[in-house]
Amino acid sequence: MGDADFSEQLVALLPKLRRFAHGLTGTADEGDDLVQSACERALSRAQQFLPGSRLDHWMYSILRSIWIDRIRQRGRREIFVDPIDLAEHSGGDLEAEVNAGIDLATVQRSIAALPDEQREALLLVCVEGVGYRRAAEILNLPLGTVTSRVFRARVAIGKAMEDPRAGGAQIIRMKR
Amino acid sequence: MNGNRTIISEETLLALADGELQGEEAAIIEAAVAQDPALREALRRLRLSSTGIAQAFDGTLNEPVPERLLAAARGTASPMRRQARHFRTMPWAWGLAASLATFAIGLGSSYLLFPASGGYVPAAEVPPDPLAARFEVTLQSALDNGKEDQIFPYASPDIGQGTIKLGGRFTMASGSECREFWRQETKGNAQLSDHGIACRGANGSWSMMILPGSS
Repeated sequence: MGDADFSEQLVALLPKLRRFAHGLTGTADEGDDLVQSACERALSRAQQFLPGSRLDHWMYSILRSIWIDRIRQRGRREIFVDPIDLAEHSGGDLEAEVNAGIDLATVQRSIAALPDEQREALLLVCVEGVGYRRAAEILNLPLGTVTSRVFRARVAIGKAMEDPRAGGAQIIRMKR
Repeated sequence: MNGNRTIISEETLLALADGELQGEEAAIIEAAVAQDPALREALRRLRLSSTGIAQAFDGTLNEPVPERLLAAARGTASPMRRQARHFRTMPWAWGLAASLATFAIGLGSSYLLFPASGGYVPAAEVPPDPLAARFEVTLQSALDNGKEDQIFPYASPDIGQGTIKLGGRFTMASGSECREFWRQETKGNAQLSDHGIACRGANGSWSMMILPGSS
Protein backbone atom coordinates (compact mmCIF):
# COMPACT_ATOMS: atom_id res chain seq x y z
CA MET A 1 0.00 0.00 0.00
CA GLY A 2 1.41 3.40 -0.98
CA ASP A 3 1.57 6.29 1.43
CA ALA A 4 -1.20 8.11 -0.41
CA ASP A 5 -3.47 5.06 -0.30
CA PHE A 6 -2.78 4.62 3.36
CA SER A 7 -3.59 8.26 4.07
CA GLU A 8 -6.81 8.16 2.11
CA GLN A 9 -7.96 5.07 3.99
CA LEU A 10 -7.18 6.89 7.20
CA VAL A 11 -9.18 9.93 6.05
CA ALA A 12 -12.17 7.69 5.33
CA LEU A 13 -11.99 6.34 8.88
CA LEU A 14 -11.83 9.73 10.58
CA PRO A 15 -15.55 10.02 11.43
CA LYS A 16 -15.51 6.63 13.18
CA LEU A 17 -12.23 7.36 14.92
CA ARG A 18 -13.62 10.69 16.19
CA ARG A 19 -16.69 8.91 17.54
CA PHE A 20 -14.57 6.34 19.39
CA ALA A 21 -12.21 9.02 20.74
CA HIS A 22 -15.10 11.22 21.87
CA GLY A 23 -16.56 8.31 23.79
CA LEU A 24 -13.21 7.42 25.29
CA THR A 25 -12.28 10.92 26.44
CA GLY A 26 -15.71 12.37 27.20
CA THR A 27 -15.32 15.50 25.11
CA ALA A 28 -15.17 16.16 21.38
CA ASP A 29 -12.13 18.47 21.70
CA GLU A 30 -10.10 16.04 23.73
CA GLY A 31 -11.22 13.29 21.37
CA ASP A 32 -9.99 15.23 18.35
CA ASP A 33 -6.60 15.79 20.00
CA LEU A 34 -6.39 12.06 20.48
CA VAL A 35 -7.32 11.32 16.86
CA GLN A 36 -4.72 13.80 15.65
CA SER A 37 -1.98 12.16 17.73
CA ALA A 38 -3.13 8.72 16.60
CA CYS A 39 -2.95 9.72 12.92
CA GLU A 40 0.57 11.06 13.43
CA ARG A 41 1.63 7.86 15.15
CA ALA A 42 -0.03 5.70 12.46
CA LEU A 43 1.76 7.52 9.64
CA SER A 44 5.10 7.22 11.40
CA ARG A 45 4.54 3.48 11.86
CA ALA A 46 2.69 2.73 8.64
CA GLN A 47 5.24 0.04 7.77
CA GLN A 48 4.09 -1.90 10.86
CA PHE A 49 0.55 -2.15 9.55
CA LEU A 50 -0.13 -5.57 8.10
CA PRO A 51 -1.68 -5.12 4.64
CA GLY A 52 -4.99 -6.92 4.40
CA SER A 53 -5.77 -6.56 8.10
CA ARG A 54 -8.29 -4.11 9.46
CA LEU A 55 -6.99 -0.56 9.53
CA ASP A 56 -9.86 0.60 11.75
CA HIS A 57 -9.00 -2.01 14.39
CA TRP A 58 -5.35 -1.06 14.24
CA MET A 59 -6.32 2.58 14.72
CA TYR A 60 -8.59 1.76 17.67
CA SER A 61 -5.67 0.09 19.40
CA ILE A 62 -3.39 3.10 18.70
CA LEU A 63 -6.04 5.52 20.00
CA ARG A 64 -6.54 3.47 23.10
CA SER A 65 -2.85 3.14 23.81
CA ILE A 66 -2.24 6.91 23.48
CA TRP A 67 -5.24 7.57 25.71
CA ILE A 68 -3.97 5.21 28.41
CA ASP A 69 -0.59 6.97 28.32
CA ARG A 70 -2.31 10.32 28.81
CA ILE A 71 -4.44 9.11 31.68
CA ARG A 72 -1.33 7.76 33.37
CA GLN A 73 0.58 10.98 32.85
CA ARG A 74 -2.21 12.99 34.36
CA GLY A 75 -2.77 10.51 37.13
CA ARG A 76 -6.49 10.98 36.87
CA ARG A 77 -9.07 8.28 36.83
CA GLU A 78 -12.24 10.15 36.04
CA ILE A 79 -13.09 11.71 32.78
CA PHE A 80 -15.10 14.85 32.81
CA VAL A 81 -18.06 15.59 30.64
CA ASP A 82 -18.82 19.17 29.99
CA PRO A 83 -22.53 19.99 29.80
CA ILE A 84 -21.81 22.63 27.14
CA ASP A 85 -19.91 20.07 25.17
CA LEU A 86 -22.78 17.64 25.52
CA ALA A 87 -25.19 20.24 24.19
CA GLU A 88 -22.93 21.20 21.30
CA HIS A 89 -22.05 17.68 20.32
CA SER A 90 -25.25 15.96 21.13
CA GLY A 91 -25.64 12.44 19.99
CA GLY A 92 -27.94 11.40 17.21
CA ASP A 93 -31.27 12.79 16.25
CA LEU A 94 -33.15 14.51 19.04
CA GLU A 95 -36.52 13.79 17.51
CA ALA A 96 -35.80 10.09 17.11
CA GLU A 97 -34.41 10.02 20.60
CA VAL A 98 -37.54 11.55 22.09
CA ASN A 99 -39.71 9.15 20.12
CA ALA A 100 -37.72 6.22 21.39
CA GLY A 101 -37.91 7.56 24.94
CA ILE A 102 -34.14 7.55 25.31
CA ASP A 103 -32.24 10.31 26.95
CA LEU A 104 -28.93 10.18 25.13
CA ALA A 105 -27.42 12.72 27.51
CA THR A 106 -28.02 10.24 30.33
CA VAL A 107 -26.42 7.49 28.29
CA GLN A 108 -23.40 9.65 27.43
CA ARG A 109 -23.00 10.71 31.02
CA SER A 110 -23.21 7.22 32.37
CA ILE A 111 -20.66 6.04 29.77
CA ALA A 112 -18.36 8.84 30.95
CA ALA A 113 -18.80 7.73 34.55
CA LEU A 114 -17.69 4.16 33.84
CA PRO A 115 -14.25 2.93 34.89
CA ASP A 116 -11.83 3.35 31.95
CA GLU A 117 -11.51 -0.38 31.36
CA GLN A 118 -15.27 -0.85 31.12
CA ARG A 119 -15.71 2.18 28.89
CA GLU A 120 -13.22 1.06 26.24
CA ALA A 121 -14.72 -2.43 26.06
CA LEU A 122 -18.26 -1.06 25.85
CA LEU A 123 -17.40 1.44 23.11
CA LEU A 124 -15.70 -1.17 20.94
CA VAL A 125 -18.49 -3.72 21.29
CA CYS A 126 -21.63 -1.60 21.51
CA VAL A 127 -20.73 1.56 19.58
CA GLU A 128 -18.08 0.48 17.09
CA GLY A 129 -19.65 -2.95 16.72
CA VAL A 130 -16.38 -4.86 16.36
CA GLY A 131 -17.71 -7.89 18.27
CA TYR A 132 -16.44 -9.39 21.51
CA ARG A 133 -13.69 -11.45 19.93
CA ARG A 134 -12.18 -8.54 17.97
CA ALA A 135 -12.52 -6.27 21.00
CA ALA A 136 -10.55 -8.81 23.01
CA GLU A 137 -7.81 -8.75 20.34
CA ILE A 138 -7.73 -4.95 20.18
CA LEU A 139 -7.61 -4.64 23.97
CA ASN A 140 -5.27 -7.61 24.31
CA LEU A 141 -7.50 -9.21 26.93
CA PRO A 142 -9.16 -12.61 27.39
CA LEU A 143 -12.61 -12.83 25.82
CA GLY A 144 -14.26 -13.51 29.19
CA THR A 145 -12.79 -10.32 30.64
CA VAL A 146 -14.20 -8.24 27.79
CA THR A 147 -17.63 -9.89 28.17
CA SER A 148 -17.57 -9.23 31.88
CA ARG A 149 -16.64 -5.57 31.44
CA VAL A 150 -19.33 -4.99 28.84
CA PHE A 151 -21.83 -6.71 31.12
CA ARG A 152 -21.02 -4.51 34.09
CA ALA A 153 -20.97 -1.39 31.95
CA ARG A 154 -24.40 -2.14 30.52
CA VAL A 155 -25.91 -2.92 33.91
CA ALA A 156 -24.60 0.44 35.18
CA ILE A 157 -25.99 2.29 32.17
CA GLY A 158 -29.33 0.49 32.45
CA LYS A 159 -29.50 1.58 36.07
CA ALA A 160 -28.83 5.18 35.10
CA MET A 161 -31.55 4.96 32.45
CA GLU A 162 -34.03 3.68 35.03
CA ASP A 163 -33.45 6.71 37.17
CA PRO A 164 -31.49 9.48 35.51
CA ARG A 165 -31.52 11.51 38.72
CA ALA A 166 -29.86 8.80 40.79
CA GLY A 167 -26.62 9.90 42.35
CA GLY A 168 -27.52 13.54 42.06
CA ALA A 169 -26.24 13.91 38.52
CA GLN A 170 -27.47 16.91 36.67
CA ILE A 171 -29.84 16.29 33.81
CA ILE A 172 -28.94 18.14 30.71
CA ARG A 173 -31.46 18.78 27.99
CA MET A 174 -29.95 18.98 24.59
CA LYS A 175 -30.71 21.90 22.37
CA ARG A 176 -30.15 22.51 18.74
CA MET B 1 -30.89 -21.88 50.44
CA ASN B 2 -31.91 -25.10 48.83
CA GLY B 3 -28.60 -26.24 47.39
CA ASN B 4 -29.93 -26.28 43.86
CA ARG B 5 -28.31 -23.68 41.72
CA THR B 6 -28.62 -22.51 38.19
CA ILE B 7 -25.46 -21.10 36.74
CA ILE B 8 -26.16 -18.39 34.22
CA SER B 9 -23.13 -16.78 32.66
CA GLU B 10 -22.89 -13.08 31.94
CA GLU B 11 -22.55 -14.02 28.30
CA THR B 12 -25.86 -15.90 28.41
CA LEU B 13 -27.66 -13.07 30.14
CA LEU B 14 -26.31 -10.58 27.58
CA ALA B 15 -27.46 -12.84 24.75
CA LEU B 16 -30.91 -13.11 26.31
CA ALA B 17 -31.16 -9.34 26.79
CA ASP B 18 -30.16 -8.74 23.18
CA GLY B 19 -32.67 -11.23 21.79
CA GLU B 20 -29.98 -13.61 20.57
CA LEU B 21 -31.45 -16.64 22.32
CA GLN B 22 -34.50 -18.28 20.91
CA GLY B 23 -37.13 -20.88 21.54
CA GLU B 24 -36.69 -23.33 24.36
CA GLU B 25 -33.27 -22.06 25.37
CA ALA B 26 -34.57 -18.51 25.84
CA ALA B 27 -37.61 -19.83 27.74
CA ILE B 28 -35.47 -21.86 30.15
CA ILE B 29 -33.19 -18.93 30.92
CA GLU B 30 -36.14 -16.54 31.26
CA ALA B 31 -37.74 -18.92 33.74
CA ALA B 32 -34.55 -19.21 35.76
CA VAL B 33 -34.06 -15.44 35.80
CA ALA B 34 -37.66 -14.92 36.90
CA GLN B 35 -36.88 -16.82 40.10
CA ASP B 36 -34.14 -14.49 41.22
CA PRO B 37 -34.52 -10.79 42.02
CA ALA B 38 -30.85 -9.93 41.38
CA LEU B 39 -30.88 -11.61 37.98
CA ARG B 40 -34.22 -10.00 37.12
CA GLU B 41 -32.78 -6.61 37.93
CA ALA B 42 -29.63 -7.26 35.88
CA LEU B 43 -31.67 -8.46 32.90
CA ARG B 44 -33.98 -5.45 33.08
CA ARG B 45 -31.00 -3.10 33.09
CA LEU B 46 -29.26 -4.93 30.26
CA ARG B 47 -32.44 -4.66 28.18
CA LEU B 48 -32.74 -0.95 28.91
CA SER B 49 -29.15 -0.47 27.85
CA SER B 50 -29.67 -2.27 24.55
CA THR B 51 -30.95 0.98 23.06
CA GLY B 52 -29.15 4.27 23.14
CA ILE B 53 -25.51 3.24 23.53
CA ALA B 54 -24.95 2.56 19.84
CA GLN B 55 -26.28 6.01 18.93
CA ALA B 56 -24.73 7.90 21.84
CA PHE B 57 -21.93 9.44 19.79
CA ASP B 58 -23.56 9.59 16.38
CA GLY B 59 -23.57 13.37 16.64
CA THR B 60 -19.78 13.28 16.31
CA LEU B 61 -20.01 10.76 13.47
CA ASN B 62 -22.21 13.10 11.44
CA GLU B 63 -20.19 16.27 11.96
CA PRO B 64 -17.76 17.52 9.33
CA VAL B 65 -14.25 16.34 10.16
CA PRO B 66 -12.05 19.23 11.34
CA GLU B 67 -9.40 20.35 8.87
CA ARG B 68 -6.55 19.67 11.31
CA LEU B 69 -7.49 15.99 11.42
CA LEU B 70 -7.66 15.70 7.63
CA ALA B 71 -4.18 17.28 7.51
CA ALA B 72 -2.91 14.90 10.20
CA ALA B 73 -4.24 11.85 8.33
CA ARG B 74 -2.63 13.03 5.08
CA GLY B 75 0.64 13.84 6.82
CA THR B 76 0.46 17.47 5.71
CA ALA B 77 0.18 18.99 9.18
CA SER B 78 3.09 20.07 11.29
CA PRO B 79 3.37 17.74 14.26
CA MET B 80 0.84 18.54 16.87
CA ARG B 81 1.65 20.88 19.69
CA ARG B 82 -0.75 20.08 22.40
CA GLN B 83 -1.85 23.30 23.93
CA ALA B 84 -2.40 23.42 27.63
CA ARG B 85 -6.08 22.78 27.80
CA HIS B 86 -8.19 24.17 30.51
CA PHE B 87 -10.29 21.33 31.81
CA ARG B 88 -13.66 22.47 32.90
CA THR B 89 -14.05 20.01 35.65
CA MET B 90 -17.46 18.58 36.19
CA PRO B 91 -17.14 15.28 37.99
CA TRP B 92 -20.39 13.45 37.76
CA ALA B 93 -21.73 11.95 40.89
CA TRP B 94 -21.94 8.46 39.52
CA GLY B 95 -19.25 6.44 41.19
CA LEU B 96 -17.62 3.10 40.81
CA ALA B 97 -18.67 2.26 44.33
CA ALA B 98 -22.29 2.90 43.52
CA SER B 99 -22.15 0.74 40.43
CA LEU B 100 -20.48 -2.04 42.39
CA ALA B 101 -23.11 -1.78 45.08
CA THR B 102 -25.92 -2.20 42.60
CA PHE B 103 -24.67 -5.55 41.52
CA ALA B 104 -24.24 -7.50 44.65
CA ILE B 105 -25.67 -10.93 44.25
CA GLY B 106 -27.64 -12.33 47.12
CA LEU B 107 -25.54 -14.61 49.25
CA GLY B 108 -28.42 -16.77 50.29
CA SER B 109 -29.92 -16.70 46.87
CA SER B 110 -30.27 -19.84 44.84
CA TYR B 111 -28.55 -18.39 41.82
CA LEU B 112 -25.00 -17.32 41.26
CA LEU B 113 -23.89 -15.25 38.37
CA PHE B 114 -20.56 -16.33 36.96
CA PRO B 115 -18.35 -14.14 34.84
CA ALA B 116 -17.00 -17.11 32.92
CA SER B 117 -18.56 -18.19 29.68
CA GLY B 118 -20.10 -21.60 29.39
CA GLY B 119 -23.83 -21.19 29.23
CA TYR B 120 -26.41 -22.34 31.69
CA VAL B 121 -26.85 -25.58 33.55
CA PRO B 122 -30.43 -26.51 34.37
CA ALA B 123 -30.93 -26.39 38.12
CA ALA B 124 -31.93 -30.00 38.48
CA GLU B 125 -28.63 -31.19 37.04
CA VAL B 126 -26.43 -29.28 39.46
CA PRO B 127 -25.77 -31.37 42.54
CA PRO B 128 -25.74 -29.56 45.88
CA ASP B 129 -22.26 -28.47 46.81
CA PRO B 130 -21.72 -28.98 50.57
CA LEU B 131 -18.38 -27.17 50.48
CA ALA B 132 -19.95 -24.06 48.94
CA ALA B 133 -22.69 -24.22 51.55
CA ARG B 134 -20.06 -24.38 54.32
CA PHE B 135 -18.28 -21.41 52.75
CA GLU B 136 -21.47 -19.36 52.72
CA VAL B 137 -22.44 -20.17 56.29
CA THR B 138 -18.92 -19.44 57.53
CA LEU B 139 -18.76 -16.21 55.58
CA GLN B 140 -22.08 -14.96 57.01
CA SER B 141 -20.95 -15.35 60.60
CA ALA B 142 -17.42 -14.10 59.88
CA LEU B 143 -18.78 -10.91 58.28
CA ASP B 144 -20.92 -10.21 61.34
CA ASN B 145 -18.26 -10.63 64.02
CA GLY B 146 -14.83 -11.04 62.43
CA LYS B 147 -11.99 -8.56 62.69
CA GLU B 148 -9.88 -7.32 59.83
CA ASP B 149 -7.28 -9.91 58.71
CA GLN B 150 -8.95 -12.60 60.82
CA ILE B 151 -8.96 -16.00 59.13
CA PHE B 152 -11.91 -18.40 59.25
CA PRO B 153 -11.51 -22.02 58.16
CA TYR B 154 -14.32 -24.07 56.68
CA ALA B 155 -14.43 -27.65 55.46
CA SER B 156 -16.65 -30.38 54.20
CA PRO B 157 -15.35 -33.90 54.92
CA ASP B 158 -14.11 -35.80 51.85
CA ILE B 159 -14.79 -32.80 49.62
CA GLY B 160 -12.42 -30.03 50.49
CA GLN B 161 -11.53 -27.18 52.78
CA GLY B 162 -10.74 -23.53 52.64
CA THR B 163 -10.16 -20.32 54.52
CA ILE B 164 -11.79 -16.92 54.44
CA LYS B 165 -9.72 -13.86 55.28
CA LEU B 166 -11.62 -10.70 56.10
CA GLY B 167 -10.82 -7.17 54.98
CA GLY B 168 -11.82 -3.94 56.65
CA ARG B 169 -15.27 -2.37 56.73
CA PHE B 170 -16.16 0.47 54.41
CA THR B 171 -19.30 2.29 53.37
CA MET B 172 -20.51 2.50 49.79
CA ALA B 173 -21.75 5.78 48.34
CA SER B 174 -25.23 4.31 48.70
CA GLY B 175 -24.72 4.04 52.46
CA SER B 176 -24.41 0.24 52.54
CA GLU B 177 -21.93 -1.24 54.95
CA CYS B 178 -19.51 -3.50 53.07
CA ARG B 179 -16.45 -5.67 53.69
CA GLU B 180 -13.88 -7.27 51.46
CA PHE B 181 -12.95 -10.91 51.80
CA TRP B 182 -10.50 -13.36 50.27
CA ARG B 183 -11.13 -17.05 49.76
CA GLN B 184 -8.55 -19.86 49.42
CA GLU B 185 -10.07 -23.23 48.75
CA THR B 186 -8.83 -26.72 47.93
CA LYS B 187 -11.32 -29.13 46.44
CA GLY B 188 -9.85 -32.41 45.27
CA ASN B 189 -6.91 -31.38 43.14
CA ALA B 190 -8.35 -27.95 42.38
CA GLN B 191 -7.11 -24.81 44.07
CA LEU B 192 -9.35 -21.78 44.13
CA SER B 193 -8.25 -18.33 45.15
CA ASP B 194 -10.55 -15.36 44.76
CA HIS B 195 -11.67 -12.11 46.23
CA GLY B 196 -15.02 -10.50 46.76
CA ILE B 197 -17.11 -7.85 48.42
CA ALA B 198 -20.03 -8.40 50.75
CA CYS B 199 -22.55 -5.70 51.61
CA ARG B 200 -25.22 -5.69 54.26
CA GLY B 201 -28.73 -5.31 52.93
CA ALA B 202 -31.61 -3.42 54.51
CA ASN B 203 -32.75 -6.60 56.25
CA GLY B 204 -29.34 -7.09 57.89
CA SER B 205 -28.24 -10.07 55.81
CA TRP B 206 -25.10 -9.99 53.70
CA SER B 207 -24.97 -10.15 49.92
CA MET B 208 -21.73 -11.00 48.22
CA MET B 209 -20.11 -10.49 44.91
CA ILE B 210 -17.03 -12.38 43.73
CA LEU B 211 -14.99 -9.92 41.73
CA PRO B 212 -14.56 -11.14 38.16
CA GLY B 213 -11.07 -12.17 37.19
CA SER B 214 -9.96 -12.45 40.80
CA SER B 215 -9.41 -16.18 40.78
